[in-house]
Amino acid sequence: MSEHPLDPIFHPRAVAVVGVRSNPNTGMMGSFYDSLLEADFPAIGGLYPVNPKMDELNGARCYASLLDTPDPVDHVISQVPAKVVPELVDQCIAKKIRSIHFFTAGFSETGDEEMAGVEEAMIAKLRDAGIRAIGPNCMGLYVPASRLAFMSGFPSESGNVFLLSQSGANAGEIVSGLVARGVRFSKAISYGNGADLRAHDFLDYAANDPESEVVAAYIEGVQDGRAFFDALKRCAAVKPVIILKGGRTQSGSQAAHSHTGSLAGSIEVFDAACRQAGAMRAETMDELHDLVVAASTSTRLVTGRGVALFGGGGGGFAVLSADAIDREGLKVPQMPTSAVAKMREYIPVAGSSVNNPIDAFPPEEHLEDMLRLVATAEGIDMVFMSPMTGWRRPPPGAKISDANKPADEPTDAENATKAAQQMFDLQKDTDTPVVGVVRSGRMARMMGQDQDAMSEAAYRKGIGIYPSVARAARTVAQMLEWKAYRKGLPDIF
Amino acid sequence: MNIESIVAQARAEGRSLLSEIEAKEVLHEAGVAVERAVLATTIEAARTHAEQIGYPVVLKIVSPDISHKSDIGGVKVGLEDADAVTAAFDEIMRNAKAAVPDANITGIAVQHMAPQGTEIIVGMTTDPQFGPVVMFGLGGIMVEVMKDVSFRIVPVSERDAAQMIDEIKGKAILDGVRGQPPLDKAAIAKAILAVSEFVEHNPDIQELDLNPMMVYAEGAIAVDARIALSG
Repeated sequence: MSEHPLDPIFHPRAVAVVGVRSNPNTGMMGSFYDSLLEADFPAIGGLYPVNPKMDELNGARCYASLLDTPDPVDHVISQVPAKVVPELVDQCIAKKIRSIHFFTAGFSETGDEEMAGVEEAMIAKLRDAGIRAIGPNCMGLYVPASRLAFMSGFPSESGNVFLLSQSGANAGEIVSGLVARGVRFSKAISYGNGADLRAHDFLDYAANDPESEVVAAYIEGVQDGRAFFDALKRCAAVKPVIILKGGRTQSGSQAAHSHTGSLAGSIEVFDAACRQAGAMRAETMDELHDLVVAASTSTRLVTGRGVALFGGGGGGFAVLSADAIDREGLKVPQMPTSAVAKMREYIPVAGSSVNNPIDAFPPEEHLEDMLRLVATAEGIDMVFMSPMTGWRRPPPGAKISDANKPADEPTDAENATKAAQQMFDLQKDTDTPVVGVVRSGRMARMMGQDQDAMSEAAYRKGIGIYPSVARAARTVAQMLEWKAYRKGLPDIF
Repeated sequence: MNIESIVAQARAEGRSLLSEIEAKEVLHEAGVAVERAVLATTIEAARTHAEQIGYPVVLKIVSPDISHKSDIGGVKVGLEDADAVTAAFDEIMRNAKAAVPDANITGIAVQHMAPQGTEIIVGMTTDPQFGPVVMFGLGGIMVEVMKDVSFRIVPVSERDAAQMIDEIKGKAILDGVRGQPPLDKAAIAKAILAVSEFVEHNPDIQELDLNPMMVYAEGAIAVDARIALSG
């Protein structure tokens, strides 16, 4: 909870879903009533379905009108058709609600001037009544602590990441993608057209929200650039902010007017605004995911460029990995002679390399010593570790999984826990950040790596896991660049 | 003349573009290093101004009807003495009348010719989303072909200006290549900051270009300037 004027929106005492659907299986998007039941909102307060065509919904009373529901109702989710929205707005004002989320679409985003006018008029009316609006044309709120969720399957556990997204589907993809990486959210908002509340309002809230430590945003267009820039500056001054900008618009008219304008469209200016404010720019959905993981784990603590790559995978894998690391401006320093000599004692096996990248796994009794030797070697600022918790022996042609594993082999979850502990201990003992890398496909399975299980287990120990060496390297390089251009701003790590 | 009266005069005349002389005057007042220009309507005046400014000088046509001055032969550079000024004055007038017969010619601008340095551009444009934005880049081919420029939103801080300078891909050129001494980045930063402050306090300005600005091991000076007012 915070003192911010928007805070009550995230903590409604009761919610009405107006225009609730009779059949919850009509699609994943828009089954708000069911998502709220699944999130157990009734443990917090009243959840009222409203639809004049039904008396009952799965055994619960369904109200004919918002005005029939018990008092108070703080938050309304509108699923009614656009043409009846004006009537609903009047009811909301009479009901003295605090906020309304319009899943309802068909307003300004259609390009239809009449509907844009309707949108403007209804927002003005709500504002006059002191009611804030989210949307139209969006998925609304996911606030685990308040048991609000806009899709099914979202965790009820809270976390430190605040998400704002103009797109509802992308909000869903970011939440579920990051949940699989171990991340949990303080709040996630899909705000669509942003007719009332928009990016700068949510950034301002996030800046002041003690529950939010990392801020991620998916933005397609900024309605009020100046307010956005100012809010971004305030937020990025105190927290890592990662922005994925969709829709690379070219300001063609501006280009025609002037020499300087013709040199660049507004996407360059948007990027410059992010830099100037001290925010991070993600180019793709994958980068957004990786940077959020990095900002929430020890990856953020990396200060130098020297990488020790540790983990089996073969000589070719080691070569390609070294290329990927170097390509991002990081280094793979040679191990000191004394360290190499020591490692040879642990691994006398021919064909394995004990220089860097270290393409070898020592016998279990030497693993700890060898890892510490590598992590503390001169010129090493971080360890990229692809944990091998034990070879699985798949029968030829068979898929490897918990289901068909030999009884004496550990489960994915056991492997993940063990690997996370290994990485955590190494980092703790040596003060060298550990950056986890999992392999994909059959190789991962053979190495005992289950991507989701390992990501989640490591994340809970404060260690970031990335789906490839290239992505780990890119993420570290982006973090280093971001820290460099933040110089002169408050230190937030 | 100060910025208010120059803007008022341009507006009264229905112009959205300041003349080069006007643009340089207001920039000079704003603390931007520019080669100022003086208007001459006669050969005698041009020679007198050249004597006062000091050779070599540059002569440029001044006309609200001619925007691409070099293209029509309206610019003469490297004039070393009074005879050269006389010849150049006549030639520019002839070229201008030949190219744009109906042009309303205000006169000819006389300015000192700055020695060749490394050319940069400092500019300002009005972004539809973010409002006034300052731009920096290396001049000539680097800006036209490589589009190697950096931007910041006004107001620009000292930290921002330093980053704009370091952000361009061709920054090695500023650090001094092939035994050249490093260029005066402090002078570039000063120009960026002065432009930012100037446009911040003058919302009438829609676009501004110092192009090119010459940078040296010590100092920097804009040799051409352009200011457009908002419509």
